Order: sequence, then structure tokens, then C-alpha cells
Amino acid sequence: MKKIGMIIGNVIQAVITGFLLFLALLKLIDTTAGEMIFRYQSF
Amino acid sequence: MLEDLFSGIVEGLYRPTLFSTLLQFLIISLFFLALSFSVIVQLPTGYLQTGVFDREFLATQKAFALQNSSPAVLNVTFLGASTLEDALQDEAIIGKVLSSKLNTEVRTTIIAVPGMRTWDIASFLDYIPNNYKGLIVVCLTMEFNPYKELEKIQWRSRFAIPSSSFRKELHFFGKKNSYRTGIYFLDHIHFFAKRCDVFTRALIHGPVDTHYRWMNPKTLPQDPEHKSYIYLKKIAVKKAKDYLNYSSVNFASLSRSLERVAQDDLQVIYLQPTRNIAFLENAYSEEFPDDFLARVTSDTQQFARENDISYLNLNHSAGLKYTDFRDYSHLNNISAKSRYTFYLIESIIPFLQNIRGLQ
Repeated sequence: MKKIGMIIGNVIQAVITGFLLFLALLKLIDTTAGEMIFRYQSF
Repeated sequence: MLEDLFSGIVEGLYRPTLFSTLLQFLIISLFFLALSFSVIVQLPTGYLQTGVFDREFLATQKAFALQNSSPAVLNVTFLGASTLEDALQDEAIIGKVLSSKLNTEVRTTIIAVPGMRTWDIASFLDYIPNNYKGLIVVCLTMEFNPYKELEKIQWRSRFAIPSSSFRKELHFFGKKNSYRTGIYFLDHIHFFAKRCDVFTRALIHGPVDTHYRWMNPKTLPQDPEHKSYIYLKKIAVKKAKDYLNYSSVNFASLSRSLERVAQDDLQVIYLQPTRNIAFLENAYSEEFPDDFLARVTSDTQQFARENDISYLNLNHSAGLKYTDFRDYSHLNNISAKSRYTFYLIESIIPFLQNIRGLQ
């Protein structure tokens, strides 16, 4: 039962952190550093 | 037993495992793949828009809608910049008036975004289907320096619209075509990065209201010594100089953009943007002794003749007064907007009757 609980917990953790990482990545791209990385990949 | 389950959930929440890490990457990848063009454009209005002024997002959605224009109904598509946005009433109103006057359904689409340029027009025209039945009205100013503007947007596309004509146009202006992944989200990453906050807002708050239309009620001062008058005069003169230097390049760019619709024999009208003629005549009088406004009109008429498109100029016939403008070209009140829209509707009806008659 504990194992099932851990899997459920891991899924919730992955969804939350996955979404937050996605937002963080977008935020990074919106900064100067991100512009340097993605500068030639916008069209 | 339940206690075991809960303690497992709590442990799973804070303890990272290989499984949770892989799942995180899978979720991020899913976001990248799921946010495709067809998904973005079908989202209900307001979800991924930053607010009422996010016309870029609306225009992106409308591009897709254009693609699905039914050949069974008459269509009118207005493409233009801020002057058009301020000069036209809501597309639903125009659609209703046209439908009742022509006794048939007329679908109206207005894609008017401040700072719209010839290469943007090229992108949107890519979405006009071959069997499009109706009219395309282009209302664009040629008073800009394309090289300078493209420098600014070289790595920041305004619209998330995949378009081969847009890329071709960039190539004509000597801009290097960059590598494309083929993944919509990645290829327009700056468009989404600019809107990164809306993802959380959409989850928590839901859509924003995007129906509110705001008009800047500012009136242009009459006194030539007034600070704003002098400032706007300076801008108008600068724009006129840009016109003298770059109008031929800009007209050529628009001509290339219209090539595809010309091949499909679609009816195009070039609508001269609204102009505060009284103000401009005064502003230009010192710098340009020749009649600059007349030159713009004759250049545009010549462009229309050469490209076999129609030309409309309602600046005089719509009776726009000095006080109807907030600057050298933008309208500032709803009554002028309604009047201009009325004259425009009256002017395009013969074209639509003609198209209907040809079918």
C-alpha cells in the first residue's frame, strides 16, 4: 500500500514541478539570457 | 492500511525518484507538443491572452479561422494597422449590416493590429484559402523603415503564425532564415515566453474579458505652439521622410505579399489609412513644399493599378474633421468611427454585389 501511495505522491510531485519547470523555462527565455540562447530560433 | 497509503503519498510528494523525474520531463514535453497551432487557435477567447490589448493573440486565432472560410458564404477580411483598428466598428456589427444590405450571410473578419507591416500581411494572406469567396481589404501605411523594424523583430515574432511567405519576405530583406524544429511551440517560443504568466492565470482565474473596446478620447490641440502639437508634428515629418526613403521597397514588399491572392483572382482593395489632413498639411508645409499628401495618393493609386487591385480613399468623403483625431492619423471618438465604417460599408457593397453576381 505504501508503494502505491509513493507512486501517487510521485505523480502529483511530477505534475506540479513539471508545470513549474515549464513556467520557469518560459520565464528564462523571456530574459536576456534566454534571448541569447533562442535568438536564432524564432521564425 | 490507509495510514500506509497516506504516508506513501506524503513521502512520494517530497522524495524525488527516477520515475518522478522522468515523468516531469514527459509533462514538459507534453506541454511543448500539445500546444500546437490547432489547439491554440481553438482555445476559448481570453485564456492565453494577456488582456484586452493582446491583439497579437487574437490575430493569431483569427488567421486560423480565415483558413476555414466557407466558400458558401461571402467573406470580407480587413487587414491593417492601428489606424484601421480605430476607424472600424466591431466586426459583428459590420457583418450584420452587410448581411442585411446584401440579403445574404456576410462573414466579416477584422485583423487590425498596431504596427502591422507588409510581412505580417504576407503571413495572414497565407491563410486565405484558394476557394475564398469575397473581398480582402488591406489598409496599411508605407511610412516606415523596414530594415530598422525587422532588426527589432528579427528574433521576436509578434504572431505565432507559421507562414512560408513571411519567411520569404524576411529573405528578401536580407534576414537569415533560422533553423526550425517543426514543433509549433518551440518555433514560436518567444510568443509564448512573453505570455508565460497567463498559463497560471488561466488555471487559477480563468479567461480575461477581451470584449471591451477602448478608444483614446484625447483630442489634438489646435495651437501649433502646444507641446503635443510640436511632438506629433515631429513624428509626422519623420514618418514622411521614411516614406520618401522606403515607400518603393515597402510597396514592392506588399506587391510580393499580394502575389498569391492575385494568382487566385481574389478581389483586393487597398484602403488608404485615415489621415488628419488639416494637421498634416500644416505639419508638412515647411519641410515638404510640394504637396506630399497628393504624392502619397498618386503613388498608392499607381501601386493599385500596377497590381490590378482596387483603391479606396475615404478621408474626404467620410467627412473626418480635425477634432475627430487624437493625432495625425488615429480617430478618437465613436461617432467618427461609426461614420467612417458607414462610408466604408457603402463603398464595398458594389464590390461584394459584383463577387456575388460572378458566382
